[in-house]
Amino acid sequence: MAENKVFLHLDELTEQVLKSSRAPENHYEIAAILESKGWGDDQARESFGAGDVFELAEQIWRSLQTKVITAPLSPVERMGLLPYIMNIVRSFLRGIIFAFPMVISIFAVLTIRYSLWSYMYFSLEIATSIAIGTILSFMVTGGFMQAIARRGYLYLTQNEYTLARRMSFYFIKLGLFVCIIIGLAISFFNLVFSVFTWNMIFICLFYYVFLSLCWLSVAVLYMLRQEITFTLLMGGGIGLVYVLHEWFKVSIMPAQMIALSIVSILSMSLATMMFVREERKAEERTMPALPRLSIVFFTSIPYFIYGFLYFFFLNADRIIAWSANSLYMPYLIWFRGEYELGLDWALLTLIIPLGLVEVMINAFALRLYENLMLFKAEDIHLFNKLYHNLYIRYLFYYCVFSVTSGLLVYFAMIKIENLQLFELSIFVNKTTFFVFKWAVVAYVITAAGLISTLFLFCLSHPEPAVRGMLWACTVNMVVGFILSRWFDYSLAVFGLLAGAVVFACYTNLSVWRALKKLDYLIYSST
Amino acid sequence: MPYVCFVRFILAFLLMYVLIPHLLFKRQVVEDMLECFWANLTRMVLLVIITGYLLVIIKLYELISFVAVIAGMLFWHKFARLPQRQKNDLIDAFNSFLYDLADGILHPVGIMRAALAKWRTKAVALAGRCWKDAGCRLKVFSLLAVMGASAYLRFHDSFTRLAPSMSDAYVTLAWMKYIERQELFHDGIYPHGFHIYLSVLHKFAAIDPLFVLNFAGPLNSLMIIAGIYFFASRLTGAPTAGLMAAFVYGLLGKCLPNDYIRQAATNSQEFGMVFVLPGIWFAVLYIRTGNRRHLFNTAAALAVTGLVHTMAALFLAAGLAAVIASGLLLRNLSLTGLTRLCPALGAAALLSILPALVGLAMGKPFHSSSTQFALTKGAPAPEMGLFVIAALAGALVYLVVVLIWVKDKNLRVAALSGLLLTLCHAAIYQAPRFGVDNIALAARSADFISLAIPLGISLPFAFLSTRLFEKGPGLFFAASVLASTMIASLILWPPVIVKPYKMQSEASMRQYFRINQEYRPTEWLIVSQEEGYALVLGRGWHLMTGDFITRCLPDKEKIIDIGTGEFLEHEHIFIFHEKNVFAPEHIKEEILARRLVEEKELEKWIQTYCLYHTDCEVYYEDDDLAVYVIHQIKSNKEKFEELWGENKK
Repeated sequence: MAENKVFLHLDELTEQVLKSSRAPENHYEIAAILESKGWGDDQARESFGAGDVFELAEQIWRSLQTKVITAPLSPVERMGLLPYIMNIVRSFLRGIIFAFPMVISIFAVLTIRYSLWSYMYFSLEIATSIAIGTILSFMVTGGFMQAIARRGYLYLTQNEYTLARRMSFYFIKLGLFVCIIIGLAISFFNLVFSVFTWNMIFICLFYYVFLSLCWLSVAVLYMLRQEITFTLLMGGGIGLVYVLHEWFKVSIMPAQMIALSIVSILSMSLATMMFVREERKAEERTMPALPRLSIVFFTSIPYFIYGFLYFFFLNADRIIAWSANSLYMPYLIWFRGEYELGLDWALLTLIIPLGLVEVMINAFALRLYENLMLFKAEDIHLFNKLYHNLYIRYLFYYCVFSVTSGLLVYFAMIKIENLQLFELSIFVNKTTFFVFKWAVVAYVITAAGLISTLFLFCLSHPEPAVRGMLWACTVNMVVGFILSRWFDYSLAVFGLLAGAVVFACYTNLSVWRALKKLDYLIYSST
Repeated sequence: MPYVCFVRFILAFLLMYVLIPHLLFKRQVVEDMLECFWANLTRMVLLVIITGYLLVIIKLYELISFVAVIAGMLFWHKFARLPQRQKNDLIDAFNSFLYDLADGILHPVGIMRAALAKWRTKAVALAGRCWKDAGCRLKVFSLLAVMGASAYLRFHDSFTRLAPSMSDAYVTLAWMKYIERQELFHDGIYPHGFHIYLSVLHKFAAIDPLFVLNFAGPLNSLMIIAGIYFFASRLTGAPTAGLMAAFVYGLLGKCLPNDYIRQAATNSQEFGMVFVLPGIWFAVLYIRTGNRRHLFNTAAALAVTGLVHTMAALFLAAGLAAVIASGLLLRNLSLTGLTRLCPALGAAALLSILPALVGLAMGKPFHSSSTQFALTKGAPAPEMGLFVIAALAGALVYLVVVLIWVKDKNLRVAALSGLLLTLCHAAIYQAPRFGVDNIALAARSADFISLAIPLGISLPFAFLSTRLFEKGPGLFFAASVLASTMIASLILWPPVIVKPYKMQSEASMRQYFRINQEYRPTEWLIVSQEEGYALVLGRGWHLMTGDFITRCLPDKEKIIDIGTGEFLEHEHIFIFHEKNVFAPEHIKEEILARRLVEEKELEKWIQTYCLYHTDCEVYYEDDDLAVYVIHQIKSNKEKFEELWGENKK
């Protein structure tokens, strides 16, 4: 009776299907629901003797035809004020914590002059190599991070920890494979075209590989809601660099390399451990097979592309600014600290808006499905209107908070500048200040696009976000390229700004349109 | 090092002028491989030059923008311009491929193996087809031998000596670098097509521009030979004629009226010459078929030559006139054909002069030396020479035989074109005898008549490719005639390795490369004579020896330019001191005298500097040259400011 191991009767599985869709259209929809729950051909064969998932779906479909389906609507409980506030605060902190590793890193550079992968007194060659390695690591792993977050999170919400772990580690393995292939391709490219010296390429590849490993494990830790763990790891890594460099007198770069290797391996081990722990907590049952990889690819590709484009967008202006020819360029791309510093400072502006975005998305998603069921079919436009208004309200809140955040950071910087706490200053150098000013605006507008992107993701409707990001990247590159070549390299920041405007407008317009058919999108996303 | 650079250079050439045009331009079924190569090369060079000019004018010329333009064109050609249904099919096919790959239905190794096997089958079939036919085997091996030997004669200098060939090379090098710095007509209006072509090659080969310069010249020369083979073999439909023509230019080049050393030097004119004969061939094809594709290729060739070198365009136009006259005389060219041909050629001519108009609009004058050269009178009457007479005789014999025995109208037009072309080029060559007194025309026409001579001489050899000589004893006879002619010619006129004169010593060139390898670009400055400027431009900094000794005082704490009041802040200053001043072949007396004085002064300067400072070392020394280096190590503050800008409080 192996087939009764999981479900004693087909009815139980039918009930499971009905929980997802109260009135499936046909057996294909049932097959899709089954696959989304992790049912594969093997399991269908083992549990019910069906040839594949489609045959099992047909069995369920036939059984449904003989029944009258009735299920009462479960009453929606209103959340109390305190839990509601707690929920908001929790979401806000979660959004803010995401930026903590970045803040720690910047703070470390300002105080002890180095972090896990930067140092104030690096030579230009080393700084260029590390900067390229860092940018590459973001761009290569960006897509995988999104795929891990999307697919892994899907299984986590279904309490399928084993599936979540296997899927996440599949993407990590794939990510590392791609990372190595790209690393080899870069080496080959350099062999043919001699863009950089081999010393520079070695440094670049080292940081690229280990940072990639770090980002992939960050994605898993973030999915497991372990942002603090990663922040601590990051802090620990910087501490290790400090100990190695200050106490054991190891040169800064080997010290960073050791610390980076340890942090990346440790974070990967921690992610594994946490998964194992969660799996133990979860109820004992047979492990469902992973869905076919083509299906995984099909559902993950839009998120993957978005992830890649997102990091490309954030770094495109840097690449353009650093490759702009002044009178002489020693190499194709050349690190320009003044520009980087302006962008780094501006990133601080994003902390509050990111927290806010998290709050809004949570509030939007909260009871979305339950609310939909409260409306009759003929009143569905009221439901859509409700969320339409909600969205506009959120955008307004966002504008107020982000402008406040921008001003807050700006004046805080002036205050810090006056206190003369740090060695570096942004107001002395014209380029840094110029980039900082405009990057603040660009990042705030980008975050406005991120809200709508997350709304679209929430409705499993990622295509407009991908298209928006693609246009944003194109505009960023074209505007930045032309301005940086015609006038000054620092004007590449206007590319970032123009791209941000395009991204925010496109995605918000898409949300605007999507909200008009919100009921349909909710239905299709389930 | 030259070998590695050569591989990169060739890879860049293949990528830019073979692979990309192969993807970008449509190929006609009737085209053979060589015809396709010439058509693609002509179109691609035109595209590169136009794109280059436009990007330089709008100040966006660099690798990224150039790649973006090419990628955009490829995207448009392969995807964007397709009908929606075809686009969807392509997307679906890609998705299916990806999903099959994910599900393990397809395997990357398997895909690669299948592609390799397909390619191997094709190659084996092609080689097998030729291998079975003794005539084909003989032709291929003979052609490879001629081309190989010609390449050896021309590339030898590039592999054995580092210094650029002839004084013109420094101008070419500097102009190519000015293009990379987005400076158009830096020294006055002059066609920059060749410099754009070189610059694109440099961007893709990623080697020192000097190597691009050193290899591009011999490659041009080799392409001219390939063009001669292509033209002669296609015009007569006989590979033997092509082979003979390539042999004459490739191995007997020293005996032709041209300036032989130019065949290993890098000049615009030789690059323009590459397109002269293929351009004429496309016109012949257009007259034969009326196909607009050939018309476009003809116009493209004329535009390329016009954008590269005016003289090349003039000789191509003369050739086209010969072909058109033949077509009209033998009534092979219709009036409709002519009415299409003329506007197309007119448009090409207009395109050629557009850059000059842009230059004038920018307020630039014409390049003074070229203008002066173009207007100089006093050209001596050139000798007719054995080879010129032989070429005229050959072309005449071929025409007479064809007119008597051959009924094929196309071949008759070809034969008449061959004679008129040779006559036309010979007439221009002999222009001073007819009262056209122009030094530039007289000097350059010697180079262009050298294109027509191999053609004229080779035409009668076309009869060795007739059916009579295809197999058995006939083939043996034809091979014997060809071989004995070639051997006899080689005994009479032994081939000579092309060795152009140099403006710099090899030792100084080696030191330049050493500095380039050991130190980061932009961190060093070289003090040397004028030639150093073009070499160093775009890599480091350069100061003329004369300026250095007069403007920089050796007894101050830091080396300060008294002209500007600023000190030379470069981390590494290399001073090239010619202990025995290098005297190039064609240097003016007064320049040599100045250099002698300057080098003596420089020696004193170094001695004085060493008395006051301890940071001057000998970087290299031999009997003729000493290179001194002064290291000015940067402080931590300077390094910090270099990295983060001036923002430290």
